[in-house]
Amino acid sequence: MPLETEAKAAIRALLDGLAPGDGDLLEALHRIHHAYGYISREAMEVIGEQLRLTPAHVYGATTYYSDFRTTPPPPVSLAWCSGPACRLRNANGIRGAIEAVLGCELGEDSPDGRVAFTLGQCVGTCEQAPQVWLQGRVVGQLNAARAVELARSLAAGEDPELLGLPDDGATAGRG
Amino acid sequence: MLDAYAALREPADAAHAGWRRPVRPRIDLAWETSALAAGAGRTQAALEAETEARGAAVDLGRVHGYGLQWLQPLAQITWPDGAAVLYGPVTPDRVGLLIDEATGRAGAAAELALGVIAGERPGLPPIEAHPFLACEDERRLLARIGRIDPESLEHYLATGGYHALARMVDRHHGAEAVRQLQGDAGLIGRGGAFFPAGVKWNFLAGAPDDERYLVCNADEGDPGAWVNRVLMEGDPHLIIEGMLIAAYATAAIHGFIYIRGEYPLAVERVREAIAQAEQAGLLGDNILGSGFSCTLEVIVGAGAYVCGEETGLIASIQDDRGMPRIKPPFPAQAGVFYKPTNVNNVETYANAALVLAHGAEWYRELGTERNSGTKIFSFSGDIARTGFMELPWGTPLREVLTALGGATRGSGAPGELKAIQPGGPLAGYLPAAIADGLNLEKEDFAAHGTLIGAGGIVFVGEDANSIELNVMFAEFLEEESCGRCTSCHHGNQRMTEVFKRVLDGGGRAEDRHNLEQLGQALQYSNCVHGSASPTIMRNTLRYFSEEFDAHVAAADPELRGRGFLRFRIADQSDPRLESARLICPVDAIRGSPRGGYSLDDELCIRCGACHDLAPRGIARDDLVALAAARAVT
Repeated sequence: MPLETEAKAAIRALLDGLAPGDGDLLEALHRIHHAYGYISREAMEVIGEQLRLTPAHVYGATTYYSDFRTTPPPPVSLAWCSGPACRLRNANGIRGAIEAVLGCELGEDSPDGRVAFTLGQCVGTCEQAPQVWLQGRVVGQLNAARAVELARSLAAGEDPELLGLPDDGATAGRG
Repeated sequence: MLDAYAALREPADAAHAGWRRPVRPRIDLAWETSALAAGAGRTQAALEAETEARGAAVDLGRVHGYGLQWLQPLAQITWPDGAAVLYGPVTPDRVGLLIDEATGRAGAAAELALGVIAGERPGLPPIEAHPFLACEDERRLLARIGRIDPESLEHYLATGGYHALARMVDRHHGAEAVRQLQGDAGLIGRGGAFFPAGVKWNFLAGAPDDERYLVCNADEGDPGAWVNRVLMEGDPHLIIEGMLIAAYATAAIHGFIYIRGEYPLAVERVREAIAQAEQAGLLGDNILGSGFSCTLEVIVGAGAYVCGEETGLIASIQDDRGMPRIKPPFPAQAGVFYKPTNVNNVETYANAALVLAHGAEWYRELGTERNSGTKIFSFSGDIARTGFMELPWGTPLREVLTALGGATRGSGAPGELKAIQPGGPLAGYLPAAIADGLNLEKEDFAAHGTLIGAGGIVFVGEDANSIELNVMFAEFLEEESCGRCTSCHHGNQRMTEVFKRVLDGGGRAEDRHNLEQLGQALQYSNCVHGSASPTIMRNTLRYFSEEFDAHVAAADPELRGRGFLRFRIADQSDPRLESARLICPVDAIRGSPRGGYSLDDELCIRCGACHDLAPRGIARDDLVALAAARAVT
């Protein structure tokens, strides 16, 4: 048995209270993912030890679900809504435009490691179609041209929190 | 037990009465996924800042939005006299109007007023008179939407919540009678399979093992469906009460509510509601002192569509990859941890609570002979008004489309309806000519080779390309196949390839036959994900046959698989061509205002950004339509 590393001890602490045979694997994966943004090989080993599952079993489950990454996440997340209402409003064109600007395909990180461009599923905010999520926040009523501008701003390193806000924000609170 | 309930009810009634008739006006902002997407967070910040800056005598609170989602962010004002009015869209720049209105300048927010939710306001119609709600009858499942704070147990109690549970555990109903009542009401499952709930509960009640589980399927994965989300974010205790009734009726000891990971607010609200109910003695050990015990927990999914299939969901709960398995054994024989289990949809449990509260006869008053009760639907796509409503089964779809403001074109301008896509990727789609005569009832849809599903209906306008839609759904089905059955995971790969090739200009005469063959193979997959996946393809070949054939006929090796869509410079005099040149993400547009512009088709990725900015200067051609037009002339 190798010595417990500091990293492993920290992971184990996150899994406090989770037990084998109790249906806790998803919860374990969510906790680790929430804390680190991805499930490392080390984390899979610790989860396996805690829940008495083989690392292969944990790896199989981790990679089965599309929400879990196995590599550290870039600082910016951009998710493209793949839902039908968005598709009817040129979501495919928006996807292509973002891929061209960021220089990566959907499901990849941009080559500079700054932006994760991921596939998002419809959650029923279709009045915003076509939309993307930037850092989890909906940027809606896009078109391809606005998507190009958004992606260029991200590629230029601008603060994602300040991008894609509707114009009406300028007069907030002064109505 | 009824004493224990009465003890909870008394302070709850007082709290809710105070909320309905507040000491000073209160502005309740819709606080749910759709409101947040529209920027409710920024509206909230603006409201807080403005009330503080003015020292305005108003309070702020929260509700769930009433369903008119295209008008988000929605907000309500409730006055001390008990009148409440719905407003929208309340963007940050309009919060001052709302504060004016709330503090006595009647009419300040008149342009945003949508209707009266409670009481009366001179000159304003009741919200039920809004054209969007023209098809609704009584709101039953949505009765509390806009009328309670969704995070308040007291509000749920004060509006009759948990009374049916209290009466039940007080032995006014036996377990068998509770199951029988669901059968008498004609409650059918709302997840899309329409299995009678009472029968399913009987399976579990008759299981030999004492350790029995309930599962609430809240893995609402069909794109375009957000029915369960509304219930979880808008009235979470209704689901808990429904599950407790099912647990009592089947002697289940524990329930899992499996919520998709994409719904973080629903997870938060349901978890909080569970904690509140436990704290109040309505959930957990010895509920209301009756000796009946049942615990509930939330499991959060992580992005896998097939976990919506009950055996996939069960596998996901018990630490395995969420892969569906062969039935039998059915969940009632071997479910979670191989123990007898009953799986129902969120809306089914919610309905069960209503049935017990109001009786089978009341329940059957709405709906049709074959399908009793109401159904929540979510409507999206090429329509003027996106949102959700609760409709009696059997409502004519034509009337619903009118309520939705009619079909639109891709641009959002009014247009013709081309098709409807109900029930998610497995359910197929139907052309407008058939959709026009349908009633919202499973039999009507099944008669045309499609499924009504779980309540999401996407309207498809005249500008849509059915082959492109088919590619989209085929890709989804391929991506979300669990991989267990070769027929499904390879079959859907082939289906995607064929449709993509047809769309990209490489269609072949034999494609139709090969797709039909693929459909034969796919239907022998183990679960419904594989077996129903050819539905959309069959609908395309059956109802959009001409469009499919036109794409195959227009196939041309010269296209080199780059598809039928072309952008070209159409008008050199358009001053916006310069901005089109600058926006192009691949520098396919060259030139200058003086020397004119050219567009390099080899570089063009058909994103349409240039056309967005210079719709006159840049033309968007569909070569299939052009070829068809040539063939006619």
